[in-house]
Amino acid sequence: MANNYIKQLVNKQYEYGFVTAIESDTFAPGLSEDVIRRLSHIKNEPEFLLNWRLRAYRHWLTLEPPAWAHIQYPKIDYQSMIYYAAPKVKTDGPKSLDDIDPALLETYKKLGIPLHEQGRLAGVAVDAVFDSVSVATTFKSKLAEAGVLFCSFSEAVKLHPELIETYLGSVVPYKDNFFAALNSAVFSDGSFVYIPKGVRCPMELSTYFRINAANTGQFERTLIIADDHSYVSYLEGCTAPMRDENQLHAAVVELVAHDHAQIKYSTVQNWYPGDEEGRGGIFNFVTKRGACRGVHSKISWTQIETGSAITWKYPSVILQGDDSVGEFYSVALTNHRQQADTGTKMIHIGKNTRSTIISKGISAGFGQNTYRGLVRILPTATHARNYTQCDSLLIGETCGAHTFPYIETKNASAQLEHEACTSKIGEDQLFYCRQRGLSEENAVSMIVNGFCKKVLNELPMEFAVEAQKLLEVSLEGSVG
Amino acid sequence: MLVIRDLQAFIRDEKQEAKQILCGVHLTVKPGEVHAIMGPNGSGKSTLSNVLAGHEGYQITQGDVHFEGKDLLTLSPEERAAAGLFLAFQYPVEIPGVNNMYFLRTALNSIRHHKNLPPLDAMDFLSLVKSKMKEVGMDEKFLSRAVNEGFSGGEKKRNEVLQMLMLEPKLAILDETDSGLDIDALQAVAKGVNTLRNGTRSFIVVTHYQRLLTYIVPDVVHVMVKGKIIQSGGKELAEALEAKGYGWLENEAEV
Amino acid sequence: MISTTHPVTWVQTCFAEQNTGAEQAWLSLFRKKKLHDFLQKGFPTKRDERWKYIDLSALSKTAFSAASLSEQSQRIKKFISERKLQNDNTIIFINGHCADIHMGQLPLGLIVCSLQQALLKDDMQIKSYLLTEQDHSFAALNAALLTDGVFIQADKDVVVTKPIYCIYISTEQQAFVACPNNRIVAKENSQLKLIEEYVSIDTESYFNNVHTTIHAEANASVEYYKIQNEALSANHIAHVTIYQQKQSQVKTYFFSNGATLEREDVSVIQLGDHAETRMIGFYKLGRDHQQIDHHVQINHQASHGTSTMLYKGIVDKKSKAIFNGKVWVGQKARKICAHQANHNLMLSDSAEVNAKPELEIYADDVKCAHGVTIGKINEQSLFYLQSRGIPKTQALKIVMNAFFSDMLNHIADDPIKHYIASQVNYDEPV
Repeated sequence: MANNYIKQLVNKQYEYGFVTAIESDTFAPGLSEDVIRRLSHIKNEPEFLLNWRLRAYRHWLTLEPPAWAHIQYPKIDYQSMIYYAAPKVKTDGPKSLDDIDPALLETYKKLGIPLHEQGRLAGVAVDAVFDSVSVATTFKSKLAEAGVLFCSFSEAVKLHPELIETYLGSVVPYKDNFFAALNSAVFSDGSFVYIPKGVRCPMELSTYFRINAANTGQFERTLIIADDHSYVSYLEGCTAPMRDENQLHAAVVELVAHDHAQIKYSTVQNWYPGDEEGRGGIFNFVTKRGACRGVHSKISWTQIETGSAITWKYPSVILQGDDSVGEFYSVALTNHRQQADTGTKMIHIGKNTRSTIISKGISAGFGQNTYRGLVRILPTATHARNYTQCDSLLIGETCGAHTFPYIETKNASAQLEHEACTSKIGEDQLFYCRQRGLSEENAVSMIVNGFCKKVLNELPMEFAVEAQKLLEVSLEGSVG
Repeated sequence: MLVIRDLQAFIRDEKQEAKQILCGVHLTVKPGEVHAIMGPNGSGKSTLSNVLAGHEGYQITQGDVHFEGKDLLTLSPEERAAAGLFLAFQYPVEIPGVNNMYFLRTALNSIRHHKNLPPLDAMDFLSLVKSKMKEVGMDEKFLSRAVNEGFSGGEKKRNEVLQMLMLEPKLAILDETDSGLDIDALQAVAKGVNTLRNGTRSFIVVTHYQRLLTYIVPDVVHVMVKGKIIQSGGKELAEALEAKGYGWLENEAEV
Repeated sequence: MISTTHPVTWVQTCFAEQNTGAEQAWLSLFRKKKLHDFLQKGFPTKRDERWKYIDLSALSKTAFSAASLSEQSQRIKKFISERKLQNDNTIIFINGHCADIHMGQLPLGLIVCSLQQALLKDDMQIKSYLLTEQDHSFAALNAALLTDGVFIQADKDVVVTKPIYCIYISTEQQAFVACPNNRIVAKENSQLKLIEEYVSIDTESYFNNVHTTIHAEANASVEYYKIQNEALSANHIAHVTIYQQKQSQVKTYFFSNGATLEREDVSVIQLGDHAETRMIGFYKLGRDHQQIDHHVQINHQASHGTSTMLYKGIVDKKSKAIFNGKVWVGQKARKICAHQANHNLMLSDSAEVNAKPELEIYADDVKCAHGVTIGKINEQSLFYLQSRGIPKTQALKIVMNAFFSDMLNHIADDPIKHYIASQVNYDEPV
């Protein structure tokens, strides 16, 4: 085996594994109706929201955790977890950066996410979510000029309750699945975006999620609504400290695109993956779904999944509007003991709906990487089209790559194509590159990047570079 | 330049059984010379090329190879490339998603790095590569394509020659670069080689047919059969082979 | 997996009918145990991942009775003589019972007999074979209600050039269930070709629950053809398990041409290095409420194995086709090359196709690829043919013929190829 490079690379440590010493308000561990009432009360929520949470909680009690995914993990004790942790603030909520604990600002600076607007990501508006709450949202006023609403979920509940009541749970109902029900009951914060009719959002919007406190679960909820003829590109990044125990992240993301609207949602997920032996790391059990409600609407998911001990997520699109378009571009990398079971669902309902799925899985070490996807063409979806490509790249002898695509068609005019292949990094390719003078290290990274190119191309500039670096770092220490 | 002494190598086949391919090859190539190695299919010509370039699929059991006095067999493939050895592949490898120009520039700068030369910047590189592409008759659109992906046979071979022109090796081995080529592509390949001939640079042209050798006139022709060079001579040997076929020499070798 | 189907009372009645007390004690005991297993499990339901798309409710709704051997009537004789496969080696089953074995010159070292005959001889091999049945509800049902089957064994180096043709005729008896169990053993370096064909003559609703197990030992070569040519009254569930030792070659061909409900579970397990497997399948659904479900799996447990899986189907009217193909590569398997393809032509808007091409890979030195397409007939090519003066219905036939004959080209044995071509109505008018 020629992969001396991969062999010799010792583990580069997870870069974002530090803990911020910060005082926070936390609940005692455990979950009950009372905990939900207290949570709702602290957040000063309207009646409808509390009732919705309680309905979700009661439904959750009737559910069993899903067992169908190709992942293995110890049973989670939901009563030993803390459901609310928030950095202490003097006032009701930070009014400006001056109200924010300097330790927090420092944390985000360390993560490369400056909350000061003149920072590196100058063209990107950021909502920073620390443990359970949103701590800052930048560029608010500039966005307001364009009529764009971008704020924390809690703030949106206060300022725009009518939008929340209309859209919350309209794409991912609380009954959807075990983790969605749990999230609906206990979600603490998240981001909210509304793009009014005809507006092209003037800058990239971004939420940066950080888990800090120990023993807490993070349950945020993101809701993005793009009204007729609007456009928004939204980025999401995540990191967490290194801890020996697992932590649960069960988020819900709902997207709604009306007539001719477009939403582009990109994720670079770098939660702490656990150590080489598989100790610790985040359980990333996330429900993400978009509804193309309007005609000619488009929702595009792009994800680079390099972190988490376990990733369980299927960003999906419901293609209701005629001529609507759904896209899913994914790179999932599992190294050491990481497990990923990820993919998408494309539900074609409207006429001439189109979907594209490009999934690239890379497995190294003892990593297990599963693509699971559903393409469903309903009888109403005449002339629907789908193209799916899901490829796997294997590095080392102890990893696994699995592909479970479900294709269901009830319409003869639909055209579906599915392709997949699994292979290891070709020794021929390595030899060819090395004969031209490239080091083994450069050759591997070049081939991996080439393998992921179709997906990386979909990322906004600022993220593409970061994602490439992340792939290289995450591959280090894989077995040769 | 290159001295090969009693080189023996085997490969493990599908059934993991050792199969001897090179059975004691002797060959000396001096600076500026063009050597042609001819032989029937399966005689070990391509294996010799791959072994010289450092392919790890072959096990060397005996013999040694010196390249400009260095022990070639101890070097990694990229070190051999940096030392000035270039192999034009019989089957150039496709690398999906990797941009052809980016690949070439990384290769060139890796080799320049070894030579303690500064990396070529994007502008200089671009004008250089464009002029070389003209020489081999390649459209500039190939720069933005992925390495060899979806190239026709002829396009792949032209791409090999382009890389050779860019990397300016001291010794270039052309492994059946002429197979499956139409006459235009063949002439383009020959032209590429001939522009590089300068009295110090050496070539080993591995081929099955004499056709290429009318365009690239060799100084020495070797005939390889069953893992050994059984006859060497001038360019007239190639013509004799073309007329009489390999059977003539193979029979002689048996005797 | 928990099943919610209510215990099926007809199974118990059948068991009682069949339990004549004439059989060996171990078999009687074993069947009783399997009956118990089945009653515990019941039929799978849609909550079972492997059975999620197929509706099996017909099996519990109809009260089937145990299959009985009926006379080989003149009609049946005529029917068989009219089969176009001229063959010396024919084994005739009527309602699951072996009615006749015509064999020409048998090569030395080839055993051909019915399973019941083998049981009478108290063959230890058959005993241990039956006792190691698989653990799922149709296996349990097959064992509990075992009818008969065929036992074929080719000894070391025995080459049987002519195919052995087993025809399973279902006829006359009302609502019966037959559970044939076939065992085929190709010893080292031997060669066998086997055809299983299922047909119906004047039947009302019936249920065939078939089990076939094939062992291809080192360097053996086996070709297995399954032709399901039954009437719409048929419910057909079949499990075929094939074990391959080193350097063996197995080719399987499935042609699904009838039945209201068909499920084929084919598992090939490569246990030895350098094994080769080719799996070909064709299905044609042209009636309302028809369901045909192919679950095909190849397990690469040894190294240097190759496998090809190619399934194609034409789906029309209000019918439902299901394809689930799985390539599994174990961690110890090296240098595996596996290819899987499934292509579907949909001719009607009320038809349904569910495809699930899976790859499950635990080794790194592999090359696996799969592809699925689902779509209707290319309008362009139809139009092209029409513009050259060919009427639309004929143009349609031509296109479908091309789609189908591609499958036939994978059959090396010419007489079998022609026979299948004559039997499968791929282009019944739409």
